[in-house]
Amino acid sequence: MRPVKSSLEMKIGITIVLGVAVLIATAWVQYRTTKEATKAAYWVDHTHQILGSFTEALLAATRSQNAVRGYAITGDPAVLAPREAAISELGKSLRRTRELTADNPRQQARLDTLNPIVNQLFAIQWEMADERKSPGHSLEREAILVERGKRIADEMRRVIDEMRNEETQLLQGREKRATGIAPVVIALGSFSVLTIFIASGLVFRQVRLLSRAERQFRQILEAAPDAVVVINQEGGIVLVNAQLEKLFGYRRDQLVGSEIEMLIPERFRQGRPGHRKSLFSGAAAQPTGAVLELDARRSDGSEFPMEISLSPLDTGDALLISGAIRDVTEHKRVEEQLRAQAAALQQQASLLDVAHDAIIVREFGGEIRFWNRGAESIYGWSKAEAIGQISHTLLQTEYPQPMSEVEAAVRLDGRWEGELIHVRRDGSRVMVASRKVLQQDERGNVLGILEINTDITGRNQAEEKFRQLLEGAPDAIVVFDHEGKMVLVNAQVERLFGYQRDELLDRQIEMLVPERFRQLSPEHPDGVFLGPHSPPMAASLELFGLRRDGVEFPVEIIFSPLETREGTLVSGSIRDITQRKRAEEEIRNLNRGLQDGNAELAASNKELEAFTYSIAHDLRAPLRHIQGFSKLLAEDLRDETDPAIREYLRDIVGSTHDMGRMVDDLLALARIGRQELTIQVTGLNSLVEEVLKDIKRDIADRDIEWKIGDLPYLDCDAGLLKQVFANLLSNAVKYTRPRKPALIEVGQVKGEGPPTIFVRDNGVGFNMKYADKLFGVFQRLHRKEEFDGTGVGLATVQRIVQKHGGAIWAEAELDRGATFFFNLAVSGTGVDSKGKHDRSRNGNSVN
Amino acid sequence: MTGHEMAILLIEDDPRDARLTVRELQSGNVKTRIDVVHDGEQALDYLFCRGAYSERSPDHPPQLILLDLKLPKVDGLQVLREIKSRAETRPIPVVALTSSREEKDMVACYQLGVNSYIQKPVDFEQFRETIKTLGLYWIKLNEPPPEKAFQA
Repeated sequence: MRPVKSSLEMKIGITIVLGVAVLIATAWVQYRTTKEATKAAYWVDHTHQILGSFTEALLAATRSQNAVRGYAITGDPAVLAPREAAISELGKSLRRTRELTADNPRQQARLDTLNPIVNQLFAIQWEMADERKSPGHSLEREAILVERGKRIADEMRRVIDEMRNEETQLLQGREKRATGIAPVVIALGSFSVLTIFIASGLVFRQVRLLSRAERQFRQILEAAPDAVVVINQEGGIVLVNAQLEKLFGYRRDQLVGSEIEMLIPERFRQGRPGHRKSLFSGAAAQPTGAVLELDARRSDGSEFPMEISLSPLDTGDALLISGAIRDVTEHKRVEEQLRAQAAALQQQASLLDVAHDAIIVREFGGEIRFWNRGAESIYGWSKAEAIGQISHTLLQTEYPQPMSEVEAAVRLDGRWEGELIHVRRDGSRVMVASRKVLQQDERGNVLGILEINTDITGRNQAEEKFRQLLEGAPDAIVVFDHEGKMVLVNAQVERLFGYQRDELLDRQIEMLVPERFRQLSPEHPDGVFLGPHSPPMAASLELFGLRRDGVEFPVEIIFSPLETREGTLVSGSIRDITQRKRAEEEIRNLNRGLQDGNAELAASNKELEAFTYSIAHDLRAPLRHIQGFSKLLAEDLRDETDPAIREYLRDIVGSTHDMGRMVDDLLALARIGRQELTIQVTGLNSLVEEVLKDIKRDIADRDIEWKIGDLPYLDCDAGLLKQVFANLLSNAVKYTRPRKPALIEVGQVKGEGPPTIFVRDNGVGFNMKYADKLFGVFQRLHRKEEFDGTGVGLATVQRIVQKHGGAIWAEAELDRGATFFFNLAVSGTGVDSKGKHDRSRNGNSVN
Repeated sequence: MTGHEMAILLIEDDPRDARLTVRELQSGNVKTRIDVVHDGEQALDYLFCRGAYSERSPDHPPQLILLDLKLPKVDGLQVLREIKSRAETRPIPVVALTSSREEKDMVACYQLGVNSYIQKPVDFEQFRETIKTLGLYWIKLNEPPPEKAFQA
């Protein structure tokens, strides 16, 4: 109670001085003096009352703010109760001030300006609470509000300071006036006792008045929700309330008179006295005080974060500082939580920045509040440029429907989707797929619109390309969904089926095929096309298409799956194969013709062979007749017949003889062509032996060296192979006639592939340039006078080898011998299989 | 053998071949009469004593039949079939004398019971040799079937 006491002492002192003055005052001014003193005392009291109500008003405003802040943090409406009290108290204080200053028009005018300021202050407090509590809590916005609140509070303090200054000046004036009276009072000694008595009475009354103010102040303190401590400028605690005792765990008597430092941890106390001045009185020196946040220390040593609102408390004779202390542990926790949330939001926002889509938050009016990096890159406007702009003005949005409808849809349905055209910063147009979602807070208040825009310019271009590709495709292409509903057709489909596009879209694919293919039965082999609408992929189906006019035509369809955002579709590529079918039919006919032709050819070959045979056969009889009758004529000629006639007859006989041999050889050749092979495994060595036996019989006079190598066993017609060796060996014998000794070699060529047999001689050979004529019928490389022969032997050999699927060739040099090579196809490759099957039946080979 | 003169039946459509054959047989000292017919029908008439040969006695079958296979009207194989399918002609030796060397002809002939199959060589000298050898063998060496052979 020291400050109050000292102020009281001061007041008493003043009063005593006043009393002494009164004592000294002359008697003649006694009446005036008495009146004056009474008046002065009244105004001093009056002034103090006014000053008190200012303090109350400021306290109430602070409490109101604390209550609002508490509500913002906790969301508990109960916390707001003290605010209501504070508001009504403030109202009361102001009303009282109004009454007390009813005689002062300047103060009345100031009160008039103060009222709306106070209302604004309450309003801004509430707005700040709202901002803190909102999910989209923006620090920037809060800062703006704080700034605005501060301005209003400053304004309020300014007005109150003016009023306070006025009152203080008035008080000083009144005191001066009272002091001015003192000499008169001293002079008026005769009235001093009376005056002192009166003065004492006045003092007593003043003391009583002051005690009442103090009581009122105490009551306010105890009623305050916050812990309140009042300190003097030296940091000594002069007053605490019950809340403070509770909060710090000290009793009131432990606190009062102690240093304020006992309530804060050691680490905050360093350089305290000087610091305290700046910390507390410095802060409090501001007209409306300050709010500090620091740690507090309880009696048990535990600490907690506190918020202390410091306000100067001018008691008139000493500057005190009142501090409203709040445990902000919960507040801190919530703030921490908010910070974490904000960090998470920040992270999410950075994630939003990663998105390629433009993500924009705007108010209903269009003012852009959020603009991610995607939006920057799509539109070319930076975040700083875009925020605060009106989005549809900035982007020159072209809506597919009136903007008001779009916004109404967002308001009503909470969302809207569609394609928009925007203009980029560089003036180019961009098409976006836009999704707009309504943004609301927990209470359902509309905050704005969240807009996510995807650049589909490229997609549309790709779609356009796809469409062009589709239209340009040579095939009819129809895309249908899992229910068989057509979703896309190209121009070829229209042309092929005779429908207009709009007659096909959304209709069933079945309409394009004849009735009989529409059966859903899975057993239906072609019904697979329609069954579950999941036809076999990548396989081509041939079925019939049905034109609009009812005409059917053959088609080939290839299905392939088409993955789209709407799910898996099926794309069917349809080709009219009428032409192909026709061509196939033609080819079939041609083939049939060719087969027929082949059969005819075979038949005519056979006929030709039969013809050759019959010619040769029929020639024989007349030949024989010519020969026979010529001979008989020659025999019957008389001895004196002209020798020339005999010569002619001999030539006739010789010619017919040659012709007979040729006919016989031709017959043999023709017979080989007609004959079926009788294939059996035959040892070639034994065949050669047999042939040599026959040949050697006729060449006893010849000097021939035979060299017969190891020959293989081969699948062949033994009779015909024997003829091959007979012809080749007799040729060798024939053409080595000039050699003494003749050398004839038979062997097998070493090497890969089918066994190759050779017959080599050291005879006259031939010029290789005639090699191609070697195997022709009636072809001879030597003059008949030199070497007899019909020119059919090698043709016959070749025929036999070829009939075995083999080949024959020769190497020779004129006068240096010749070598004939031949091979037969190995078993089963070129050999006439018919002959093989006949093996058992045809044991008796023909020859 | 009775006192009847034996005969050889030459069935040959080519008169020149027939003449050459007859000449060579005869020059080979075959004294037997040689009857020549020029087609299958004549041959069957001769053998079964009908038509132009109805006067002929069926009791005197020819000692040997030389049969060309290529014949007008009824061909050689048919004639052979008739001969070998009847008891009164079956025992008569039949020599197929033909320019055909076709396997199927040979097979058919032997299956029908031909007694010999001889191919006429193209060369006249070989032909002459063949006919001489044939005459020697079938007329001179071979014993004709006894009469009883004709009784079924």
